[in-house]
Amino acid sequence: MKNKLKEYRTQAKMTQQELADKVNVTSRTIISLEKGIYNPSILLAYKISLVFNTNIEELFCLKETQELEDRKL
Amino acid sequence: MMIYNKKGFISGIIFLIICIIGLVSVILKGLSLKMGILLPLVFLFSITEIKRSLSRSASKEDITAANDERDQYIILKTSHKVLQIINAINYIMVLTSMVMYAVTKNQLWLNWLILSAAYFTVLFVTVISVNIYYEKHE
Repeated sequence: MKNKLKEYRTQAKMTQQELADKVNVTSRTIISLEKGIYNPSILLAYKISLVFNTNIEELFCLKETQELEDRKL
Repeated sequence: MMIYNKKGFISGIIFLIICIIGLVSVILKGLSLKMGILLPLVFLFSITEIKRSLSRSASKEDITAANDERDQYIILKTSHKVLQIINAINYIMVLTSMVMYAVTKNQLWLNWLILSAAYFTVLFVTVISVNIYYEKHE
């Protein structure tokens, strides 16, 4: 799933480990999320969006993802 | 002194007990190469586990690593894939043993067939039981 996690994290001048500590996951999970390999649970997505003071739709590009999926169909 | 990670503390204590038992066996039977290598490793592991379980920051790291959702997802996918591979191997075993028994009439192939069929039966019953459990509780 496409997301703006790296963009938000670098803007907040936060390391992957710092973000991982804030949301209680390992830094490997953050790396996978940023690469778009791993899709987070709704709880993790919510926790991360709270850290960056934004919403899940914006952070995880739900609109763009939906449009991409619709085009594939 | 506060225990922050109970699981880690208990596993540390268990390994320490194993180490003490090993030490007693060394005293009674004498030192062997296997024990000489194994005992220091077990001792180090148990001390590390106990020490980490008593440290707040280390315990937080351990608990986070143990509860990491991606790791749990990978474990789940791995278990599923392993089960699929074992099932495929077993399926091949059943077919092969059936054909081979029909051709050779060798008792060994019949034993393989019974063993593989027993595995399928146990698996089938287990899958149904676990499925019923999760249908009710999830």
